Amino acid sequence: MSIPTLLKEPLVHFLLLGALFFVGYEFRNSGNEGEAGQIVVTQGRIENLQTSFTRIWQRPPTPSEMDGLIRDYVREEVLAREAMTLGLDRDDTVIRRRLRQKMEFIANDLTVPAEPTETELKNFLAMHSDRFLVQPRFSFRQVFLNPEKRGAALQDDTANLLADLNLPNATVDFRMLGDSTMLTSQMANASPEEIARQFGDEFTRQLEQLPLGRWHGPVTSGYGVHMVMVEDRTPGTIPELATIREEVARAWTDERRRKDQEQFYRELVKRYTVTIEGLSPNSNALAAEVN
Amino acid sequence: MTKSLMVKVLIVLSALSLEGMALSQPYPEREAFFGETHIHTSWSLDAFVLSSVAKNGPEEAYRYARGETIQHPSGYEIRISKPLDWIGVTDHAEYVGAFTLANDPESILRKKHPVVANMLKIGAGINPMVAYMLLAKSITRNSPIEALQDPEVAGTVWKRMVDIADKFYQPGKFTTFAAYEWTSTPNSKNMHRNIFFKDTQKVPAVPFSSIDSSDPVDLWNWMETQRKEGNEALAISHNGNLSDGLMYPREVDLNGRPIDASWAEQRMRNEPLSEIKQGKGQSETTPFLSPNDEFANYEVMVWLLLGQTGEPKQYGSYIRNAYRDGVAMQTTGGFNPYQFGLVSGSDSHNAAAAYRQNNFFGMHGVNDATPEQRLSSEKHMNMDNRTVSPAGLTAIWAEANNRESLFEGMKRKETYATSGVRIRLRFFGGWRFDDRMLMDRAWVKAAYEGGVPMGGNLLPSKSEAPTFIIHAMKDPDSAHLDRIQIVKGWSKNGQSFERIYDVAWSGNRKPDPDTGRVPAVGNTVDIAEGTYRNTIGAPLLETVWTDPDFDPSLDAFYYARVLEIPTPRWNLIQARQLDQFPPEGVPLTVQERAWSSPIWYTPTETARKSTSPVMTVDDLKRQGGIALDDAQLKQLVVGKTVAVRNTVTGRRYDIFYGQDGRRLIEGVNGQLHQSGEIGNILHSSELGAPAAYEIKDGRLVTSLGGVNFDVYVYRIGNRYYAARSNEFGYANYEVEPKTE
Repeated sequence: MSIPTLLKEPLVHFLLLGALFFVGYEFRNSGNEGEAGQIVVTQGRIENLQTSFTRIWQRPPTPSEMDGLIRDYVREEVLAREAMTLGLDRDDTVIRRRLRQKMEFIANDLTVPAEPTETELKNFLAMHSDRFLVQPRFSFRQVFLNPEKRGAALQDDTANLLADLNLPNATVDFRMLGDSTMLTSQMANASPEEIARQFGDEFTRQLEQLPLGRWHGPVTSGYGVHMVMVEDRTPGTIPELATIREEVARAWTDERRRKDQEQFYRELVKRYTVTIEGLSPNSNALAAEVN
Repeated sequence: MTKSLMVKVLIVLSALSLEGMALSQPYPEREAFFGETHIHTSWSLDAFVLSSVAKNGPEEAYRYARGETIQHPSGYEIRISKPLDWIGVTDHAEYVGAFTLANDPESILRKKHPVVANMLKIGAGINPMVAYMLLAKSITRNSPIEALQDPEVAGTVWKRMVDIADKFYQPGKFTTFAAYEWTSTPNSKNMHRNIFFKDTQKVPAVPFSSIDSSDPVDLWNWMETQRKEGNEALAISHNGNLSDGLMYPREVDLNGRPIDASWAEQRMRNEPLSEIKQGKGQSETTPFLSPNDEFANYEVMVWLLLGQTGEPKQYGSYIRNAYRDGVAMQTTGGFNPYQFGLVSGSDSHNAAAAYRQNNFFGMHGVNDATPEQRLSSEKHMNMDNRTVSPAGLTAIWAEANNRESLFEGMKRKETYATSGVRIRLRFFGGWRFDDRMLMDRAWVKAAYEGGVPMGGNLLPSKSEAPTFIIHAMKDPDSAHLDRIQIVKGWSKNGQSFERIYDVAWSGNRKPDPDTGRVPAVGNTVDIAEGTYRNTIGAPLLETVWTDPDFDPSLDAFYYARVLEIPTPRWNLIQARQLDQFPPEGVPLTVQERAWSSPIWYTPTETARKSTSPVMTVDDLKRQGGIALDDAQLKQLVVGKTVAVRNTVTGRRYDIFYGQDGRRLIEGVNGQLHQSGEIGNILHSSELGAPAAYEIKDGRLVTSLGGVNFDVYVYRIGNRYYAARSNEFGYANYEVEPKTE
């Protein structure tokens, strides 16, 4: 891995930043705000207290309010340090959750992926083509037979109707044949979703297999049986990258961020050996997975 | 402008106008567009606290509705069975988005009101449920939290909601509406309305919430101000079933003001629709209100908001009753506040709803996220998860799938509601529809030309009786159809009646010669497997029907109800999946259904005058009638059987008034009789079942379903006449002490 690539790696960012953060914290703690047994309220801290008061109350604190803020800060510092000495922070879910959240926020800010390259997008599209697929399209005509009305004659009626429809010089309008319904007698350039909305899933599933340019039947649906002529069929395609670049880039970024964050966690967890005790029969598997 | 640029502009313009033309009128005879009128995301406070893993917002709601996979609030993936054509996201307006803003470090709430924001932040020390209860209480106690009412804060959320709706709007393909829920809950009674805006051009800076006022009249006033400013909106009342009698009042409104013509007109101007089915039950009717309706025992939810104990009152809570009261008010007062159309919805708090029994994933976030939770008898806020059902769907007949066309369809009430399935239903009323009309494949065009569609009013009569075309096609991915029914209601002398006609049905079933009822269709549900077969029922039912009992002098309404054959309810399917016995006390099968908006008939003044002469309380007084006092009432009835003749129907009821404050109807016309039509008086579910009565302040007070009905008795000479409090000043009864 070259140095420039390395510099792009979020984990490196994180570790660098973490180190800085840590150093800063150490420095501030030891140098300014007091070592163990010492509390120094710095000028910076006082200004900080002042600003946050002003932000909440929309005015600066009066001198006596300022004294109160400082007194309260010292009290908080003393109690917080003592609490940490006693380890009270360790078992507190709220504090732990807050710390986890802070970590995740930092990770989130750090793992902003760079702009994807053309190759990255192309590969991504190829690997996830199903997510960007342009649905197939069908143009078809249909004639319906209502099994409830036809009863025992359904099979014969189907055969006769099919023969009539496929007559070489048929002059009768197919829209006048079969049993009347509110269903449309033809659809043009419709997606499976649009077709399923009217004809249901069962009917729509069969369209792919039907021959082109002649009447075929019976095609079954939730309503009954249909004679269908598929006039035209456009297969589903993966669109050119150029036409859906933005969409692919968004998905790429989403996924990259998720992966980076996961990797981040993976790096951190490497520093630990996780042992899971207890009754769970999965304990070992779980520990292996985490490790 | 250079020449080539101009050519380009022209090409673009002509392409646009062609596309515009194609989109504006693609369905001249209108198409049924299926959509959602009622859904919450985590921007609703209650939905937020019900979401653990995924905090779905309006974006997720739109994504789900148009067919994308999203996360259930508890984390697993969910996908809609069929994408919707349109949707309005209706988050509760009260403090909408407060939690969302509090948890967004960049939000205006955090910057401007950090104290309040901190209080509502997750993990800030306060349990979200406690925070929610605090907020809810501040609303019910009428002491709103100002920081959250800050127009800048509330306005930001509302603007974001509107912007997201615009972002997902694809005219011709997927329509979104700017919408919200006005969550008025006086004393835990449901007075909720969903508000839909026609477009987003002139939406208000902030919506009118129940914090502003919990009185619907104030909401309507606000809507009228909006309309004057060019911002068209409509309200949809919902969950009448949980309103404890407040949703469709008959005598006085929420503030005790009498219901009059101006109240009725204002309600109709603003509230053209009402929701008949959603996850928390149906609001059509109940077996108690409609004892002669064998399909009324369907998804009846007995629950009060926020888990209050007790059962909600049924009078004033259900739509069929409201329609009946509406025509009675038309007859007696010349106005009808309940000439509304029908929609359905989900009221899911997951930003996503299940519309099918076979993919039901609950509606209350973490409370009913798993099959185990849904089948458990454990209650949340007193609600039994097992009584909750999949969402209903609304179909709007419109020329195009866009805001303008769909909104006009809603205003026109050319809508119908389903229990979640996609039954296609046409319903027209006219005077000269011919039996052979349906043979012509262009019959829809002829029906529009010769009559009115669902939601309309019949034109002045041109023949002896109105005719109706009803055409129903099954959902191709659901069960076959059992029957089509017409539910008719009418009013006479302040009384109202209902009757159900079976008008088209599958197979060779023969109606019972006495009752006219078509026998049950049968049942193919395999309880052991949790499956059914479409070997009974029909894919398509249609007929032209003429009202055989039409009286041109009486106000009436007609709506169509379509029933599927029985199919497994979700609890059976999910118990099978878990290899459990299904829970007891909940039906295992269900008949999915569709309800059309009604078509109304209003007589002309001439036709009205042809009714037989009637007696009013004023007439009685003029003729020297004296109202009985308590002692006289007691002497007349207590411990005796009295014969009460209803002069409207001619029926005679024998009523025994016991010494113990209970009264029993012993018979109708001298026998225990089940009649085909049901009036609002002494109905037959009361036969054999005693009701409590009391004599006080010169009234005989009978309690039916928790609602009191007062009877006043007058004496003229030795004859007794009675008037009931709910019959608008008519004295419709003759009372005779029985001598045996």
